[in-house]
Amino acid sequence: MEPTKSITDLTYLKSLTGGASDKMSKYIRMFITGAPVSIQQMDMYFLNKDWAGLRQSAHALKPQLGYFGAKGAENLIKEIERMAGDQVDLDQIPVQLENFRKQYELIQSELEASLKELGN
Amino acid sequence: MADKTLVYVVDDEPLQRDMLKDHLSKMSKYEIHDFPTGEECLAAAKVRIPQIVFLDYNLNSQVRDAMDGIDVLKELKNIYPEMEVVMISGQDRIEVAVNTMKYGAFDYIVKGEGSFLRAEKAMFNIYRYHRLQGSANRYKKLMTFFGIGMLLMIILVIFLQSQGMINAPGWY
Repeated sequence: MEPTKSITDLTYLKSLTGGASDKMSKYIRMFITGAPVSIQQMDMYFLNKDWAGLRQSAHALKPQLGYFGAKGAENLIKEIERMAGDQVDLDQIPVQLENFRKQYELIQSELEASLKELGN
Repeated sequence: MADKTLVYVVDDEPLQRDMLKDHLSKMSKYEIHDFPTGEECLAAAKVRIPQIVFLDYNLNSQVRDAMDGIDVLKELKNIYPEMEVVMISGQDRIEVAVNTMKYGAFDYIVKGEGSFLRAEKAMFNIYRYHRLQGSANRYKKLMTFFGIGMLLMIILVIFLQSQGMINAPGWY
C-alpha cells in the first residue's frame, strides 16, 4: 500500500530558520492558532455578504499557507480571494470554503505531528 | 545600541510579522521593533524615528477600520521624508507596486517564499543608495568650493591688472 502523500512541506521553513526547531515550532504554533480564527472570519464575512472582508481574510492567509508548503490549500484560498474580490461565482464560495476547511483539518493534523517530531 | 539602524516592521498578521522580524534580527546591526497597526507605528515614530520601515499594504484584516498601508506610507513620508519605507503585500499586481512607489516607497515586496530574502536585499540597497547619495553630495560640495575658488581667483587677477600691479598676458 502506498503511503499517504503529505499536503504540507516544511522544506522552506527549515531553510528559512536554518533548521532551528524552536523557531519552526513557534511558527507552526502561530499558524495553527491564527488560521482557525481566519477561517471563522471568512465564514462570518460570507454570511454577511461582506465580500471585501472575505477577500481580505483570504488574502492574508494565502502567503502563510505557502510557508508550510500547503500548495493545494493555497490554490483554494486564491480562488476564494478571486471570487470574493471580483464578486463572481459567489454561489461557489461555500463549496470552496468547505473544501478549504477540510484541507485545513489535514494541514493542522500534519503540522501537529511535525510539532511532536520537533520535540518543542 | 545607539549606532544600530532602527527598523520598524508593521504587519497585522502576527506570523508574517514575527517571521520578518526574526529574519532581519539575524543581522546584528539592526534594532527591530514590530507593530500590528500603522497607528502604533506612527505613534512610536514620534518618540523614536526609524531609518527604515517595512510596511504591509493591507493593514485591516484584523481591525477593519485600521489605517491601510498607503495612508500610513503617505503620512510617514510627509512627516519624515528621509525615512525609507519598503512596502510588503500579498498582491503581485503591478499597479499596486506603482501606486506605492508614487507615494515614495523605496521598494515593493510580494509576500511569499522569496520575500524574506528580498527584504534583506532591500536593506542592502537602501544602504548602498544612501552611501552613493552621500558621495554625490560630497562631490557636489567639492565642486561648489572649487568653482567659488576659481571665481575669486579671476576677480583677484582682474583687480590686480586694473591696479597695474600685474601685466596682462600677451594673448589678453
